[in-house]
Amino acid sequence: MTQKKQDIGFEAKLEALEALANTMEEGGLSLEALMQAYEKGIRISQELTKELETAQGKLMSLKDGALKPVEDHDGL
Amino acid sequence: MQASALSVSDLNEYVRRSLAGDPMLQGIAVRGEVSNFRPYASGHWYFSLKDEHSRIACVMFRQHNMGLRFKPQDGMKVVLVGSAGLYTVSGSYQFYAEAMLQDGVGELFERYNALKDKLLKEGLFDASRKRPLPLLPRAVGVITSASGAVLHDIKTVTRRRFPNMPLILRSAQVQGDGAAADLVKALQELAQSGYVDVIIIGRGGGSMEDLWAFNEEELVRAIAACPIPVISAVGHETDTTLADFAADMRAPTPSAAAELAVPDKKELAQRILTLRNVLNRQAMNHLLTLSARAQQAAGRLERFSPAMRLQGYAHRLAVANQALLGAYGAGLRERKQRVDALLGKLQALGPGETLRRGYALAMHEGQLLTGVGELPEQFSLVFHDGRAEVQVLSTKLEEFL
Repeated sequence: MTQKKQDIGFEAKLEALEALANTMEEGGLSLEALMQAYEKGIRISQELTKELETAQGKLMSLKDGALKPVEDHDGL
Repeated sequence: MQASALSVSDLNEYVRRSLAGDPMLQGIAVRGEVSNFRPYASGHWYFSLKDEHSRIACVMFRQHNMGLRFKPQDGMKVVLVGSAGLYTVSGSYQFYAEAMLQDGVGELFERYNALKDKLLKEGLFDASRKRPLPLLPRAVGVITSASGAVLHDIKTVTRRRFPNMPLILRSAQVQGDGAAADLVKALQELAQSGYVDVIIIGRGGGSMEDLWAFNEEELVRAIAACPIPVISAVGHETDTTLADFAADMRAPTPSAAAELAVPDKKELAQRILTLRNVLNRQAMNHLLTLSARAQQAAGRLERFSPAMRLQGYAHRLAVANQALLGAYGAGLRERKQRVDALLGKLQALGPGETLRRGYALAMHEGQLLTGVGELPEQFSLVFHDGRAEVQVLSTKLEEFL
């Protein structure tokens, strides 16, 4: 089944990861800040990769507000 | 005189043949307004076609009218295609219609343009109203007929770009009476379901009449008002409906709509991996720089506190290193070795190195002695290579050097 609303969207997370990478590339971080940025970045990238696999690609049909699987002849 | 008189039948037959032989009267189109429309039980239609000045009796036989998608009514403006001829039984001249087209297409264009102007002025088509499409929708809503090629095309593209992307179909009537209302309802149902983050609404190509539902005001407004971004894919690339103007994105074909709605999974995965590589490279570079600085600083210090802090960092580095290896593996063997070397260096910053340089620790019962005032009569001196038990002969407090 499809997920319910995500806390933070995929796109926002991806942007956060890009921002962390940029900050690290700019340099000048203390060791503490560097470690924090790195740990956070790795965590986000793992979440993002996971999100790509969360969905289960099925064709469903919406009828009277309820989802029903669709007989699929082309195997999607 | 009498001998040359024709029978009525002969006369009518002669006129019938004359008309039938005149190419100007065969396969012609005639425009007019339907009146006195009489469908017979036999399935044949009888009516008149008229304009301001004249009328002509018309017949349209069952085999010709059964495929027609509308039923003529008195007053309807139509174009008939067929031939003019004589019905010999009654001697009446009439038009034999083989095809009938609604002559409203010009009128439809006028309605289209009027509504377009009106909605344009209202700002319904403004670029500022367009919402961006989500990068990764949880599911894609599809509104089209369940049987058409549109759904098939969307499925094919989705399977290629993001095999596990869910599609949620709300099948709808896409042409004819009630189509616009059903499409509006479909939009609302999909938006309210909470399952989809983007909606594709579309149908295959057709005549302007076929596509007309997508020019109806209620549908155009519903698309503009839909809380979920909408991609339109109506007809062929050359057909532009008002629904296309109101949609957040217009796709020339259903396949193109799917390309817009469904991200390329491989591309996304690659983007994430690239960012992770940046993190790893930057973390490694920074750590190497910082550890070089820490070593220099540590060399000038004689107390243990920096070593303790560095051990804390070393621990976190090891944890991060785990995450990093979990994140990928093979390509990072070399980097892991560099991290291990780094950890070795950090550990070397413990007391051992300092002791080797000629310092000793004064210890008693496992406690470090840090001043003359604390000395018991006997204690241990710990060197890098062993310990000595010593006895205090005398003590004296003084400022150190």
